[in-house]
Amino acid sequence: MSPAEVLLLAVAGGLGAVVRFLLDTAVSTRVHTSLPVATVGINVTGSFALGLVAGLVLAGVADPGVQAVLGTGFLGGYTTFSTASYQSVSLALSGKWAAAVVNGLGTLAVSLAAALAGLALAGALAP
Amino acid sequence: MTDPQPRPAPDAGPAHDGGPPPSSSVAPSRLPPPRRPARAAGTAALALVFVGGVAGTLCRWVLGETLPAPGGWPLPTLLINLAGAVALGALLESLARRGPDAGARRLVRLGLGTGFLGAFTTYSALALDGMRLLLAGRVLEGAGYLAATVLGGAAATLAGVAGAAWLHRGDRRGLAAEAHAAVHPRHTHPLLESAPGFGNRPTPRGGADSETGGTPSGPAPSSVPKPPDSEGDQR
Repeated sequence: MSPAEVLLLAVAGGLGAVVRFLLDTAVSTRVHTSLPVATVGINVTGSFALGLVAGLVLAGVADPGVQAVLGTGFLGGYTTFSTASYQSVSLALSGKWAAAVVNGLGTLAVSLAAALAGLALAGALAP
Repeated sequence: MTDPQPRPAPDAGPAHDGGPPPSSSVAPSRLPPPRRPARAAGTAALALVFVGGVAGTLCRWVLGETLPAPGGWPLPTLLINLAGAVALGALLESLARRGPDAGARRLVRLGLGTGFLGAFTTYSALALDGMRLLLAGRVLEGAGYLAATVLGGAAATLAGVAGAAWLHRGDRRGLAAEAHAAVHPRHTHPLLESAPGFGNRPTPRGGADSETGGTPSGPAPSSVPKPPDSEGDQR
């Protein structure tokens, strides 16, 4: 990758983090549940989008540079593992074991399905 | 459950953008409920999240290019996510023990936690790489990758929290202290016996200013000890 592409990738990641912050703030000020639904939604939608991007690149529709900037950059910065893990541990430490397991394994299962759906959609869209 | 915490300061930010749990009812002492930040504070927060996000993404890319991925197994992403989990646990616990989520502490959390570590770690690559391994018929490798990330991530987060709790064992706040209170509402944590204010909250009226005054560390000398039994209702 050229330095310009790396810079673009990094800036895209910063924008992804800002979008995550804004979405999280907007959702968390309106929804109050014991499950951190904002983080879950962010990680699931990001996994779907990355599946879609990767599928389009696999199908030859999109350039690999698109996956680097949009996938590694934007969606990598948009989704987050550390926060999801902290929230699961936080639920467990406060005695909400069921919610912790649902948050940890549920997010994983739904994100896997979302990535698969993105790949499948790309396959259906590709000529 | 009770929420003995005073109402938030006007400049208090959202409680749930960098990892603190949204369930303020179970973590009453750490963070104020969400509140829309003032415009200037909001701009600074966005700038910090952006700069941290750029740096975190760059670090993730560099490590992804340099660390080996044996047989296509996504070792770099695993190591990145585990390292980020340790760091976020330590960061948030350390900040929580230093005082309320306001002012400089909040900005550090947004820049380093929400921005840098949030962007450094990633979930989308975890899901895509895991699914690809499963789709390729490498079920054991895929399941191993997913289990190592989720279970290892939980252990890494706990290690970070515990490490910071130990370093700040004289301070009375934090997830580890609250977890102990949730499990043992009638006992004081051995690590925290030296903290006279452990488990105590400032009184909703008179002590509210101490939540926003920004005393950097140490137990608040003015806090009034709370009878241990009064936490029994947190079960």
